[in-house]
Amino acid sequence: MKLKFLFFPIMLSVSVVIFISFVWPEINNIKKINEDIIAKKEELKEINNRNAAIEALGKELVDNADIQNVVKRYLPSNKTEERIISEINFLANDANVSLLDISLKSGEKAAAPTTKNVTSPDGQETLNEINSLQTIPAEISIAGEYEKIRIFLNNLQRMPVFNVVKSVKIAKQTNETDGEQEAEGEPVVNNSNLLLADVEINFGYLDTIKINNQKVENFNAILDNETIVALKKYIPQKAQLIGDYIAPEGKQNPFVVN
Amino acid sequence: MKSGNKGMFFSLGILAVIVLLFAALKFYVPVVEGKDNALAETILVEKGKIVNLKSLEMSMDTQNRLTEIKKNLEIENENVTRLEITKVLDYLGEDMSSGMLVSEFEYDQEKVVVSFKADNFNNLALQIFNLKNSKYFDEINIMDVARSEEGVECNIEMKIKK
Repeated sequence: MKLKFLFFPIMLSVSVVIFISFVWPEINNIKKINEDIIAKKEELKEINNRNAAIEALGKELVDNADIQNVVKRYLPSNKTEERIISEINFLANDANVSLLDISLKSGEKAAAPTTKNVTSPDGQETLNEINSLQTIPAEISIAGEYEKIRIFLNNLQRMPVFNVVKSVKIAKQTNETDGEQEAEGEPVVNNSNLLLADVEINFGYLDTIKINNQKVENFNAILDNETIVALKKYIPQKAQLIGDYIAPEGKQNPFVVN
Repeated sequence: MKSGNKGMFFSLGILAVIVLLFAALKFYVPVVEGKDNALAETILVEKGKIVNLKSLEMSMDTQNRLTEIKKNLEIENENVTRLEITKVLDYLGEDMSSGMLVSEFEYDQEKVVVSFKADNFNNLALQIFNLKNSKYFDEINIMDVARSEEGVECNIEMKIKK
């Protein structure tokens, strides 16, 4: 009778101990795995959405091939010295200035990388190891009247190749330079309005991007239409340039006394 | 006697339920773990698929180029806002006073150095005054002033206002 009376509390205690020691940890384990499953489902949903967005962006780029053409033509993936020389020569002829010299140097990497380097937890730089802007430095010497040099400089900056003008020097052609030209057998035009201009300019190119998982995670599948519109407006449409020209206020030519 | 049996069966019942629950959980855990692992594998496969997408490479490459172009041309509201050399020349022309001419002009992104020629010191002083009150230039630094056969020569270094 006494044993029977004690059986209930003993069994209840054993049940509680079994529940706390074995059942409860298993319940917690399942809870944790379920939370993990929910997070993974979310991640999968995001991946699928990103996948769809990338496909849509890719389709948009394929359908509007001119976007890619404009962008890749402006910032090519390799050196295009032949295009640069040909364009500069065309601009000089177009502006009616004498192209005295074009000097192209070997390329260099731009100081600023394309995107920030991202360091992974194991300390390795994983992003943007090789994908940075590279430049072809060029020096251009031209001679001509102020207005023509002005047109050349304007069109040079708007040239359909990525460029950064580093320096410009414009000076009146002196008798000394006339003498040099004469010695080199070049015809000398005695014109007091003739100016010499030396331009240092960097032309850029950018390697094709190397994809890795981290870059994909940071990728925002929205096309920067603002830049495309601005670029299309900026690169030369000759008729537009002439139409857009507004004579500056004040002195039209600072190199002559009025 | 009857109530003693009832209590015994009740406590045995609780124990049996707990043991059954434990057995069910032991069976269920591998099922959810399997589901979790399958999802992890699917994620890996989907990620791998994205990396191999041709359209991704094309899109990322185009965006990368657009970022560089935007930075270089300083594009704002669909307009290029980077400084143009012709603008600097126009600014200079606007700030020139009569009787002055520029004999040399140097621009290097940071600053502009201009060599002026003037008929007399009075015109040069007026020119310096104009530049000091210019809308376009600041930090005017007179590098040297000298009289020459042709008049007065002066070299001025200045920065372009942003």
